[in-house]
Amino acid sequence: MAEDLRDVMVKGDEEALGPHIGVFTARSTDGRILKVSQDGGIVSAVAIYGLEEGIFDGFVASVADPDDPEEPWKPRPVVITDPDEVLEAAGTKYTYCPNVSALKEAITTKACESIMFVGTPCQVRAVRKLQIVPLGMRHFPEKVKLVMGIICMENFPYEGLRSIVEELCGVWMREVAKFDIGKGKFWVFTKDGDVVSIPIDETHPFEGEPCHVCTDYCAELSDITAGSVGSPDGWSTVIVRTPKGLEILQDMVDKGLLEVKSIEEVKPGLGLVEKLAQVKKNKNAKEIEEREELNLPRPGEVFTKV
Amino acid sequence: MAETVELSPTTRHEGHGKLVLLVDDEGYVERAFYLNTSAIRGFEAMAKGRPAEFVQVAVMRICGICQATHGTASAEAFERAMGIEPPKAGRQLRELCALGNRIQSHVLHQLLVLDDFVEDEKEKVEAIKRIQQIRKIGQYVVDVVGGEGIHPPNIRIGGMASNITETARRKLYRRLREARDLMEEQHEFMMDAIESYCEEEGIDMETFGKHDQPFLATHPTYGDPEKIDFDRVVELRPIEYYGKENLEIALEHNGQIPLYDGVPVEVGPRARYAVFDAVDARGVLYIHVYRSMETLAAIDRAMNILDELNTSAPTLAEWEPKAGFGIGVHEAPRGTNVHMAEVDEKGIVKNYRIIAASTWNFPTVEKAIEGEKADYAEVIMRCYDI
Ligand SMILES: Cc1cc2nc3c(=O)[nH]c(=O)nc-3n(C[C@H](O)[C@H](O)[C@H](O)COP(=O)(O)OP(=O)(O)OC[C@H]3O[C@@H](n4cnc5c(N)ncnc54)[C@H](O)[C@@H]3O)c2cc1C
Repeated sequence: MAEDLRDVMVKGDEEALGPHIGVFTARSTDGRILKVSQDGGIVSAVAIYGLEEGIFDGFVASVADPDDPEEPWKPRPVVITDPDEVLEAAGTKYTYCPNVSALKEAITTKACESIMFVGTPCQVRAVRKLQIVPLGMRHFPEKVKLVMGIICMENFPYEGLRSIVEELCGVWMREVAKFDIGKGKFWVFTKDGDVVSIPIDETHPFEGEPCHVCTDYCAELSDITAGSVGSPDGWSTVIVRTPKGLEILQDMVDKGLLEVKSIEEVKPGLGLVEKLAQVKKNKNAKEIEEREELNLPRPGEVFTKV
Repeated sequence: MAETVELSPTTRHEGHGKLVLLVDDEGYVERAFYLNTSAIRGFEAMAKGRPAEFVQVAVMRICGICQATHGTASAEAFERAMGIEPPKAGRQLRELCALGNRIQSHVLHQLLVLDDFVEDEKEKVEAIKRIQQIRKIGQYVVDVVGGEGIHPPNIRIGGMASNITETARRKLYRRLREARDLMEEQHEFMMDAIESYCEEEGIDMETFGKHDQPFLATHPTYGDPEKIDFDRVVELRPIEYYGKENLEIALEHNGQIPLYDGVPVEVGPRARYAVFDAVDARGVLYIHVYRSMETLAAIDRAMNILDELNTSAPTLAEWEPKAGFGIGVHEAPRGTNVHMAEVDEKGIVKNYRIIAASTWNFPTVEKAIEGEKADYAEVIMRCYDI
C-alpha cells in the first residue's frame, strides 16, 4: 500500500512559505528524469504524468539550447504537448525566460484546453493575475489546470549569467552541462565532467533589479511549489497548497511515480526553507522601503499611485 | 403630396445609419436615402507615412465584427505592392481564419433580424441559443487560427505568423462538425420563418424589394482583385451622387459612394451566388436565404481546408520592403472589401485607399426600398446587414 501523503506531510510557517496544506521531500522514481532534472525531478515528473494521463494537454516551460550558435543556454518559452518532450525542458536555467508569454500560443494555435504552467514566483503571480483579469487573454482563466512554482531567491539577465560563467567561473558557456545554486555557492558542471564554483556573494552584482523588490520566495500562489532547498542532493522540497495539487501528487505516489519522505527526516530540513524565505522577505522589504522614500511605486501597487 | 419620413437611427444592424424616405399618399416609397452616419475616423489618412506592418495591423480596427477581412485585404494589398508571395499554408490558414469570422458574422446577423420574422418568444430563445453556439465555434476558429478572436494578430504581410498543431486541427474539425449540424437546423428555421412571414404579410418573395442593379463579387470564399476592373470603379462624394438639390441629405452621408460602370452594385452573399452560381433571385429576402446557405458553405470550405492543410509547412514568407502599388481584395461577410496600398522603397505607406464591403451597398439599399411600402423599409435595409 502506497503512502498517504497526509501522513508524510508537515505544516510549516505560513508567514514565510505562504498558505499550504503540507510540505514533504520527494524525488521521481524514473531514472531517465533524474538524469536530467535539476533536483528530484518533481516538475518534470508531474508534467509527464499529467500529459500521459490526459489531465493536461499542454505544458508551458522553458527550453534552452546549450549549443545555440548565437546565445548558448538562452532559454525560450515553449508549449509542450508530447510527454516525450518534457525532459527537453528539464533543468534550471538561471536567467529570465518569459514563460507567461507562451500561454497565448498554448490557447490559440496549439488549442490547449488544460494547461500546466511552471515558472518562478513572479511568473506564478502573473498567471494568477491574468486569471483574475484576463485582459487580452479571453478564455484563458479556466484553461490553466495546474500552476507549479519553483522556489527562487533571484534570477540573472542573460548577459549577467554569461558574465558569471565566463568571467567569474572561467567556463565557456558552450561547455556548461548544468548550473546550480546551493551550499552558498554558484556551481557550474561542464560537459567534460569538471566542477567549478564561486561564492554566491560574487554573483549578487549580476542579479536582475526586479528581483530586489520581490518578497515571494516559495511561489506562494502556486498549486504546488518545488525547490532544492531543505532537501538532500537529488531530492526536492515540495510544498502542496491546493486540493488539486494534493490530488495529483497523491495519485502519483499511488502509481509509484514518486518516492516521498518526511522533510523532518532529512537535512537540512524545513527550517532552512523558512529561514531563507524570511531572509528574502526582510531584505527586499527594506529595498521597497528605500524606493518608496525616493517616491518610486510599491511593486504590485503601481496603479494605485496617480 | 409626398411626405418625408425619417428613421434615425436605424436599428438592429451593424454600423450607424439613417433612412430618409419620400412616401406617397398610399404609403409607398418614391425615393429613399440611406445615409451612413458613422463618424469619419480617417484610417486612410492615418495610414500615410507609416510602415506597412503597422498599417496592416491598424486597419483591422476599422471593424470589431469583421476584422479578419480587413487584415487580410490589407496584407494582400501590401504583398502585391511589394511582390511578396505567401506560402500555401499561409494562404490556407488566412482563408480559414476569415471563414471562421464569416460563420460568426453571418449568424450574428440572423440574430439581429430575428424580430423581423419570429414572434414566438420560445422559438426566439431557442434560435438565439443555437446562433450563439454557432458563433462560438466560428470565433473559436478565429481564436486558434488567428491567435485572437478579435483582431487576429497572426494575419501578417507574407502569410500567417504561425501554423496550427495537429491537435488544434483535430479540435477545429470536430467543432466545425458540430457547427454543421447546428447550422442545418438554423438554416431550416430561417427558411421557415421567412416563408411564413411572406405568407402572413401577403408578400411575394420573388418581387419584394427587387432592384435591377448588377452584382459584384470576386470569389466565393476568399477574394480576387483580378475579378474587378478598377478602371470601371468610381467613388463619388455624396454631393456628386445625390445632387445639389439634395444638399442637406448629402451632407449627412459620411463617406464616398462607389459605383461600378457608373451605377450602384450589390455585393455580399447573394452577389457571390449570382456571380459564381448564376442564380438570379431578385427579391430582397433572398439575401437572407443566400447568407444562410453561405454559412453552411463556409463551414464545409473550412473543413476542406483543414483536410488539405499541412500543419508542418511554413506559413510566413520573408520579405524586404520594395516600392510599388497593390490592390488586395477579400470577400467580407458583407461583400467585396478592397484595400489599395502604395509604398515607397522603405515600405512606408504613401497612399492608402479602402472601399469597405458595406460601402458598395448603401446606394443599392435605396433602390431596393424604392417602390415598396415605407413600413418595410427597415426590413429591406436589414437584409443587407450594414
Ligand atoms: C532562476 C531560478 C532560481 C532558483 N532559485 C532557487 C533557490 O533559491 N532555492 C531553491 O530551492 N530552488 C531554486 N530554484 C529551483 C530549482 O533550481 C529547481 O528548478 C527546482 O528545485 C525544481 O527542480 P526539479 O528537479 O523538480 O525540476 P525539473 O524537473 O528539472 O524541471 C524544472 C522546470 O523549471 C523550468 N525552468 C527552468 N529554468 C527556468 C527559468 N529560468 N524560468 C522559468 N522556468 C524555468 C523548466 O522548464 C523545467 O520544466 C530556482 C530556479 C530558477 C529557475
